[in-house]
Amino acid sequence: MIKSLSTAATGMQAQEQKLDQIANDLANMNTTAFKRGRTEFQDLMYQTLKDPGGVPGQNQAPVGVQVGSGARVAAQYSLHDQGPSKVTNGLFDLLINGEGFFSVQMPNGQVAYTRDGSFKMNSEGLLTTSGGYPLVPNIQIPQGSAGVTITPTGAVRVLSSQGQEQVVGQIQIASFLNPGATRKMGENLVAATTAAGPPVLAVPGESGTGTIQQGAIEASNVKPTEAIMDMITTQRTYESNARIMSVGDQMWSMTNNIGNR
Amino acid sequence: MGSPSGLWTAVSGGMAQSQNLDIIANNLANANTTGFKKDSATFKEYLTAVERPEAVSNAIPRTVFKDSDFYHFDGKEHAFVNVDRVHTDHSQGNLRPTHGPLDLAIDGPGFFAVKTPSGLMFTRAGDFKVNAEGTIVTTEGYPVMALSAEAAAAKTAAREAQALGENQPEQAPGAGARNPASLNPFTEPALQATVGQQQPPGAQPLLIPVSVRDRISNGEKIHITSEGEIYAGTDQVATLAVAEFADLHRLKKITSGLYANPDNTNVPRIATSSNVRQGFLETSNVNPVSELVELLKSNRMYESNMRAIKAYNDMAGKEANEVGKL
Repeated sequence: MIKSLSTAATGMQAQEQKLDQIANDLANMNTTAFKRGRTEFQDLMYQTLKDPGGVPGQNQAPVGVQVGSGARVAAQYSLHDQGPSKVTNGLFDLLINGEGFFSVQMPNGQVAYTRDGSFKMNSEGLLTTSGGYPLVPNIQIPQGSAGVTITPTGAVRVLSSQGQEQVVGQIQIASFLNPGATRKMGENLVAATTAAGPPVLAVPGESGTGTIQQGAIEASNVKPTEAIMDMITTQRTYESNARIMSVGDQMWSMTNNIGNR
Repeated sequence: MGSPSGLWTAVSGGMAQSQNLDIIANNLANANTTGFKKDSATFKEYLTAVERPEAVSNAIPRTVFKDSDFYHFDGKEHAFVNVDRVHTDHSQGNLRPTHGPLDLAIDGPGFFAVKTPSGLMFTRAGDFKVNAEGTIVTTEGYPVMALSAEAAAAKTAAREAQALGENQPEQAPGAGARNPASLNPFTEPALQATVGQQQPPGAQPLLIPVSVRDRISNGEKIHITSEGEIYAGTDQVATLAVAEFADLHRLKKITSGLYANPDNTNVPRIATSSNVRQGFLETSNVNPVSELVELLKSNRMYESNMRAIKAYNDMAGKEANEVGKL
């Protein structure tokens, strides 16, 4: 009975953790370039009370008695499929059409990665994220530029007030072998990890990276119907496990009350 | 008084139901676990009455009277029940579309072969990933095995021979001569060469991990056919090793969706009736409705057993306190 109580508890904890992920997904349904999470469950250890086998022929047990001890969350990570594009016509709104991330410099010198391409120009003319972290390699737009064009391969062309076109920078895209293993840092940023593999920097469109589209941003890849469906199954599974707990409790109480009249 | 031996029948019933509850609890805890297969307990009753014939005696007993001289239990008081077996129901779970390129489900009785530190294991949970080295791995990081070129060729030859045999039976003997069983990667010593600590001399591993490193960095998409053939772009990279067993009930659940095959006589073979579905995951085959019905049943049966114990307790109480009263 004590076992079934703890088994039900593991089930409830696992479902709770999944609900946390769904809540975070739904909260970020309108976050630029947000990647929805996924929670994977696995069964826990089995207690073998009786092994299959025995004397072959007359008395061989084809199956034994194995009692499992519940479920756990095995992995919780982001799915990096591309979100729908949202046309904004913003000058510095960039969308990566395909794999890869923009690299940005954090204040501590560390490089972080993002797919949120809604860049801004700061007082020095540097392209930065909304959080103020400059793009790596730095793209500086000269003062008094009349227009900026960013090509699909990441070349930043600036039209000066005299009408002369000039390339002022090249945007690079970093890609990971296993983007699901990058660490989320908040502010739409992720950090590289050893499990994700080393970041490979490339010109957009090369070595498997996507191309850049100016004037659009990537919307969140959360699918509301899927999230709601997940929420229903999570809630009901939680409920079933809670039911096990109450039955285990009732059975225990029956046992305790045998001596009572 | 002697302890009423029927008491233990009720106690064994209660213990068996409590164990049944543990199994139901595990099923429901895993109602959302990918590739989970539900367990169900079967009970065995033990009836001594069947073994011992009823003693028929009309003679006046010369010994001290016992309980059993007044109530003829016929040995039923020694009956007990226990959980005899736990069956894993290997029926197919639903296929849930996830659209992930490395989310694989098996439609059919097969299993993916996985190399773990404690030997080759099998799983139905196809939520695979690519690790930092570019190898296809499970969530734990165990490499998913594919057939070596030699084993894959034998598989193709066997399938062609089979197709030939079906269409033109008169031409079959020549084609059927190549026995694919001799190249079963799951038999010793090929298996030892794959997962063993030391490679037996002369044995070649027929199962290999799949690396897609160069393919992904070239921007090629991974496509997996229903036969388990992994394509990157238009090139075939590998063929997944999908195993089928003659007797699924001999598999032993380990943890994390893995099954071990402890029985050497139950050698798996390369799957012939299983299809791999890319972009799907197999859901748990636990049906919450039937589990909750089981739960209610188990609860009430436990209650009945507890009532029986209580009745014995009341009887003992009467015997101790009231029989002697005048």
